[in-house]
Amino acid sequence: MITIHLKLFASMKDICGFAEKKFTYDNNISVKALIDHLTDSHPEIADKKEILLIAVNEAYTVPETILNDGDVVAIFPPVSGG
Amino acid sequence: MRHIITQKEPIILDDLLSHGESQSDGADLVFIGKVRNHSRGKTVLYIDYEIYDSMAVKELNRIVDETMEQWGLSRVLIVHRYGRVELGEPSIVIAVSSSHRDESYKSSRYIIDEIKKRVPIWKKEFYSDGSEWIGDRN
Repeated sequence: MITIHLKLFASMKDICGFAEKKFTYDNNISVKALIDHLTDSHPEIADKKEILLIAVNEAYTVPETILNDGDVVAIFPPVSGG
Repeated sequence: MRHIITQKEPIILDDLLSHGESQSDGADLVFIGKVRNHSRGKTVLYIDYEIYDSMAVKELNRIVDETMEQWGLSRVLIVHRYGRVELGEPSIVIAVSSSHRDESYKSSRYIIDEIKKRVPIWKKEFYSDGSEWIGDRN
């Protein structure tokens, strides 16, 4: 059993209706599987999948990354600071 | 030296520039990014910046590490605001110092370009008839 801390920002937060949530899974899943899981309940994410950025424990990574217990996953659209 | 912060409050330029000033520097270069009143044909009223603060500070430091290594600057100061920023107010200030101007010009450009690509901050523009997240147009 693993617990993942998910953080969402900007339009992803608006679409899903939360900024932070804990998810529990029986096995170590990939970030991609986590996004697919979110897309099941929030189909609007499907249009954004290609542009989403992912950070695990505050460093950028790829969707194929396998998550471990306690990881903090952030999913967000392209940044626009400055 | 470096001084890298994020803050909700307006940026006070004189306070920022007082950090780590050195007489061995021949160039202090200051870039001020500010909120303008138009964007893609729309009239902007203000911008609300959202931030993933802990990661943003880490990513800013990673960018500064790269900049220091490549151009050997003596000083880098960065302040990025979050929350509501009004028209004409600075949203970001980047100050770099070096012995000669060339390093300052090149590194200042590198820092702002990398911030726009990598630092987890998002602007939401507010117009008279609604609002829009800017990162989503990419």
